[in-house]
Amino acid sequence: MKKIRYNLAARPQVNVRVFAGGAACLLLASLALGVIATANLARQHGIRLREKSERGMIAGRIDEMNRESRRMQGELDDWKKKLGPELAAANRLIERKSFSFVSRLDFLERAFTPGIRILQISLANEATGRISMVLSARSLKELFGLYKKLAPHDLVITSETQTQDEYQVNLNFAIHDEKI
Amino acid sequence: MKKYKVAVIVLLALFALSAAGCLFSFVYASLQDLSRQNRQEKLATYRAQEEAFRRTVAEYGEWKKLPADLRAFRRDHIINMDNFAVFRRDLNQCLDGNGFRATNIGFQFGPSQNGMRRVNIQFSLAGSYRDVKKFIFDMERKPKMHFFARVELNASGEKVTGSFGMEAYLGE
Repeated sequence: MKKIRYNLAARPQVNVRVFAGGAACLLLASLALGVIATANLARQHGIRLREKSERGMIAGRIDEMNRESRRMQGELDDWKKKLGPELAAANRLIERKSFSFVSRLDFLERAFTPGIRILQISLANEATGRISMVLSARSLKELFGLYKKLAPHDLVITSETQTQDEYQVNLNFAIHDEKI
Repeated sequence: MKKYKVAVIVLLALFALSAAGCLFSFVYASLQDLSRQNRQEKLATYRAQEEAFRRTVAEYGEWKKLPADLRAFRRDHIINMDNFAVFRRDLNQCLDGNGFRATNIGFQFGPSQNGMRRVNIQFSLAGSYRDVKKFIFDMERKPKMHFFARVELNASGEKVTGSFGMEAYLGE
């Protein structure tokens, strides 16, 4: 059988230890949140200050860059006007000086087989690097073997004459420096 | 009993204040991040401007060196009148060295342009292909500003006859 107990105290009893524990927890949580908020705001403030000083520095640097750029551009324009033609002439000469006829002859020696005879060859020191030649071949097989080798070099066959024992061809093609 | 109630209210108010402060700091940080993204675009423009400036500085440096480079180019490669005699001696030596005898070498002096005068040189040779190629090689490797403008080779029996056009540049 259940026993009935009566509380006859005038004021409700507060367990001081439990209350103090709860209050301490609440206080600590409040302090932790406060510390987090302060740290966060302080960090943002630091970033803002740093960015502000960077922005100031960048603005100063942009002004300085623009000023220097204008000055250099002015001098560059003068130099280009004064030295440009001489520079272009020097570059043209260097380009023509570096044009190698021997490299082109080496290329032809590699490309031609013994059954083909070059009768005439004409090379010019030009940017297009076109080579004109007259050649004779003993057989169609050798001739077409040569055509195949020269096909990647803008080969143009001007004329081809077939006689009893040989084929005579006029052709031209281009060899650029980078392909030698 | 009342003092406990007051303490609870004070503690709860303190907690609410701290939580609100914390929330505010996070919202503030997010807003700052958003506006920072805007500023990044401005920074990218600045970086592009800085890159263009760096290119201008590099170009400026190159052009500043140019007068000295052009002087060196003229000194080292353009033929002066004294060197033109040397060039003609070299040409004759190259011809002799490869067993050629050029009987008719023509020189045509062109007008002056950019402080230089072009000289067209024309001659014909006959010999073996090997000797002709060696002659071209010997002339091509010389450092002064002369080069072959055109070469025509004709096969005649075992020999090759070549017609050559050269250009030499004389400084003034």
